[in-house]
Amino acid sequence: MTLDAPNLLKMLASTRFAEGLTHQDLQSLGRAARLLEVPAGHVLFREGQREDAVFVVFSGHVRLSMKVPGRGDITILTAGPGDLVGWSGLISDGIMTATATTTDFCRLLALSSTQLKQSCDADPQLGYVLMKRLAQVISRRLVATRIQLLDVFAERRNHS
Amino acid sequence: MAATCEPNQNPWLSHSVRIAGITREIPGVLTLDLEFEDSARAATWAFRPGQFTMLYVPGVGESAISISGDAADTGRIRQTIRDAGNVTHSLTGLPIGATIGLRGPFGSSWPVDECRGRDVILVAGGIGLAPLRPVIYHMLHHRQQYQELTLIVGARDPALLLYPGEFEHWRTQGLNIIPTVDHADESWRGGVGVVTTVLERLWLRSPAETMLMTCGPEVMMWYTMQTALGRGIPAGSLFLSMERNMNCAIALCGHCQFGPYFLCREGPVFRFEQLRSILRIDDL
Repeated sequence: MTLDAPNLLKMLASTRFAEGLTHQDLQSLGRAARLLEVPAGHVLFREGQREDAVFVVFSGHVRLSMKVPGRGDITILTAGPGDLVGWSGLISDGIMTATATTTDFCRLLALSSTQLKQSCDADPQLGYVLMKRLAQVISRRLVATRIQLLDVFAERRNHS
Repeated sequence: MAATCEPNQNPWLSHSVRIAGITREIPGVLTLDLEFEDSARAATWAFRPGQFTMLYVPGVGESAISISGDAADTGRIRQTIRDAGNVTHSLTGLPIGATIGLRGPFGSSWPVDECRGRDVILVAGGIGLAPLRPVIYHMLHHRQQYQELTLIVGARDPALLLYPGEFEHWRTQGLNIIPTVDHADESWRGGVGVVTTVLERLWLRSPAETMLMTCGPEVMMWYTMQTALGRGIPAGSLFLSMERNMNCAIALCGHCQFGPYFLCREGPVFRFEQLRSILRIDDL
């Protein structure tokens, strides 16, 4: 679906990922963005494949999964509104580390990594802001993964 | 909020209760429906959401167990028990009709009155949903007194979610339920991830007017609090329920001392501000 630039910017600005960005930063992001509306079961990208777009979930949910030989497709995280998925393209070669599949009807903003990286190279201030935002996303994801690794719901016995 | 046993009750006196029903919830966890044998005691029984009792198995010992039932249900006491030690192992092996002892109720309670007119978020992990269930019953009985009600409930996997049979009814009563698990196969339609990830993205109408209560593993509760603070929910609006080895239940034995507090008396429910500086101290 195509959306005119002001509406696209408005949509982008309302996401948690873009919270607090300046109008100028938003415009730079908006130039690289397009709206994507997809049904449940749509594969946004596959593990091991190259993907240029990084997605900001506007509504709906996206299942991130990894293939494990003998165990099949294992869900590692469900992303929801405001979450960023597919950020490998922004910081590396764009080879995806998980498969992303929508679990319900989703509205997403797909941002071209190539365009974003070009904008960041041309405007280091934007690059700093964007990378800082990306670091926050990755940091939160890392903490959540650590908590998951702790297996805090595992049963423990006590004396009473 | 803080309270001990009911006034005019001898806190040492154990009353006989009969197991009138058993609900097997998840592996190793069941709920007992208890009824007083003494009708006079039954008539005066009352508790506030968040409180606990001491259940006594003759010849085995006593254990502190959260009350997981509806405070409006005066005919019976519901308590959810995880088989985690000698007493609870014995409790979970008793048949319907068996008689055990009960002291209490004891301890502080969730701030259901303070929550009136506000948005409320409940964050439960594993069996931590048990002491929060009375809050859910209370708020759904008085639904018009509260604004947005949300339950974020986490478990290791979908089969270990507590009380899933009640979710649909609670939803129709106006509770927004977001289950999330650590691991799941493709048949699971809910979310995968930790409760803090869900809280991170939850739409908040007005963080300053939101209250949050949490119960679950301490690590989960700590990061839930950090996430809530990051979302702008005031520290004074955050509450948690702690678990320690409670023995006498009336702040005499010291087994449940936690810094300056006795969990059985000042707790188990605390305002986060009370525990903020001591919650992450090793071995406290």
